[in-house]
Amino acid sequence: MTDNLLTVRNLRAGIEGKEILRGIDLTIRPGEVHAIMGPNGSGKSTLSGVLAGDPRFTVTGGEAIFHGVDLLALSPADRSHEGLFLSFQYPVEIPGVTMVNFMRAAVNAKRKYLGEAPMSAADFLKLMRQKRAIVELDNKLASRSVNEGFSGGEKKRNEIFQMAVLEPCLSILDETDSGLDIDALRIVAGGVNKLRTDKNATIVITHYQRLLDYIKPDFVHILYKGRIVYSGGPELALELEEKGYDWIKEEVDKQ
Amino acid sequence: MKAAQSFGQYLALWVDNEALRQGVPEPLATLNSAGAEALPALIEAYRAPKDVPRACAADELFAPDYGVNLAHHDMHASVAEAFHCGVPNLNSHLVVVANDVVHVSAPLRDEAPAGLKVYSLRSLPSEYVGRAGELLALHSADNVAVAMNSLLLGDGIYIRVEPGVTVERPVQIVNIFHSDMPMLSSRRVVVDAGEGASLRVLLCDHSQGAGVQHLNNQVVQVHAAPHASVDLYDIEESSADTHRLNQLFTHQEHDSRVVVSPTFLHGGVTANHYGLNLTGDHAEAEVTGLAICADKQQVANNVVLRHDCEHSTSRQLFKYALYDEARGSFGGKVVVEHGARFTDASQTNRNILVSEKARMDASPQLEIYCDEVKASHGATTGQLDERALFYMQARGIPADEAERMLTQAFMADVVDNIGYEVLRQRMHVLVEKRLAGASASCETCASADCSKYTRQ
Repeated sequence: MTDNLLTVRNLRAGIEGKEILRGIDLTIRPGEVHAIMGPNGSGKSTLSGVLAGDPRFTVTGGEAIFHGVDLLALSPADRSHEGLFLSFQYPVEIPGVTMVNFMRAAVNAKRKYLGEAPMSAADFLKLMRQKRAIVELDNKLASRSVNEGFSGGEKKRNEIFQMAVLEPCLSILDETDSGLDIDALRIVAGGVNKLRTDKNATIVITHYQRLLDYIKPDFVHILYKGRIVYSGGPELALELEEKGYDWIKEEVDKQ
Repeated sequence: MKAAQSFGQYLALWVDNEALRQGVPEPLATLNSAGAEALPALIEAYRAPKDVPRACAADELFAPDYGVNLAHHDMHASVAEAFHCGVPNLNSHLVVVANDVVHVSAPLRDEAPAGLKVYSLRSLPSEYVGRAGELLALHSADNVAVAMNSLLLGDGIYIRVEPGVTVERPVQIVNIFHSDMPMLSSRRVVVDAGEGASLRVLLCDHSQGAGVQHLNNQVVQVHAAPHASVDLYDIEESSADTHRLNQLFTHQEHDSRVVVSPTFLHGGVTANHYGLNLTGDHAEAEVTGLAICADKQQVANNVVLRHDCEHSTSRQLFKYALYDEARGSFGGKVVVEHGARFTDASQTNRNILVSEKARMDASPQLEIYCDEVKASHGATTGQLDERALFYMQARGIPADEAERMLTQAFMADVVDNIGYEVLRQRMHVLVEKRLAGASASCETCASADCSKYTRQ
């Protein structure tokens, strides 16, 4: 059990008094890719937000242990420093803060947390150059404000670029495929695959099987009405693609 | 009642101490008398403005019993002589005003570039007395605070740029308050830019030593002849015991351009009034200011921008970040007179309240008496973008640093508007340091590393 990367037990959370997650259990080990699928409103984005520390959500019960650390007790920044990464469904535009200043602040904040000295300017630029290549991100975007004026594809590539720089041990990709054309999808998924090792793990949150053609999951979970109602192997995603969510809904609602 | 006491005490002091005021040269003597003549009626008519914080009203500012340097002793000449602005590459033409005594630096006095004249009003060459007097007379008694300035002015600065001359390096005026006892300083700057002349003026307000109350009652006049260009940057970084009442008046002839850029980084109570007059066709005016207010600081900026010609353009942009129990106010009035066709005026005021106890009052106003104009105004007051804050934190940037970065980003366009590059870079750093909690002192300014703000 101790080598679990993330153990979520009976996690409950809501927004403005409305309960959305109604007891989530999930165990993730290093090297694994988990897909979380489910119909609209099932709580997929709430789960990713709660794990990352989004202040909009209130945790009402349960726990999340992240390589031995009580994740829910940490600030969002410290969760990041501990190795959690959330790729946003809707990356936020930050006018006036350049990508390069944003990334420098992020990198050096983590180094400070780990007791390391700030990175030298030369090393930092080299790191940026290396990581940009992973998702073929244009150098020009570095001097622009964070996500401002980026196309949908650029925003998602930018997320994976940040993931590459921060080298998390657990990445949550929240609807990373939404708003992507097939070429951008291939680049983004390719980036994720390049970053996979047997030490880190990925949670892929998605509506559709499509992304899973590129990022192969080891486990597929179906979230419905705030609970994981079904777990299986990769074949479950194919079954969903074929039959839709209705059969799951019927089965669960019957109970 | 309050006004009679506040202002009256200084008028009485002036009247009662005639002996101290012997030998005041022209044009100051005439200006002093004009102030004295106008004051009784102005005091009588004074009503505290309702749209600025009470502390920023003139009668409140003048209420304390400040000392006044009526005999015009140069008590702190050493302060002026010792002053050195350490900002690298600024290469300014330096004038230091120690309390209310003007010290034109020796290089500027002896080796000013051709076409630039900078004089103390007390030692004006005779050929400029008439001209300076005419300009001063235009603003001898606009309101009670201007009349107080006229009454008590013991010295001032007259800057003349001859027609067609472009002065490359900025004229830097450093106002320093240094005193063991509470003092009222009256300061005045007259900028007289000839036809096609071009000049940058940098005003820095500082106070040395904390705990001594000071009121700076300043009047700045900018006269831009046709095709003249004047940039005026005003940086206030003084102690919490320093109060300032600063009034700036501009007169723009045709095709002239004036940029006014006030920055409040630290101080106690500040009331700025900007009266800008576009009287010549195709004149352009820009007023872009920022204020970072913390503790119990109070800052009021009040702009009255009058278009009285054709094809003139004005742009106002003021941004405030308010912390703790700070109070800010912005009043912006654009007046488009009859016949001021093709006026293009815009006014924007945006504010961030970082703390729940901070307060901001904004009153944008348009008064338009002409049909063929383009005018816009907008004011917003809110908090930092919570989604952006969370996004930054999710990338590991701690909440306080994320707040600072967002506030700095919010201010960036105002700073970017500063046309003088050395100063623009410096200002980015000063804003960053101020937001990080450092006092933006003279020393901080000089030693700041600006490399990251250098434009590639």
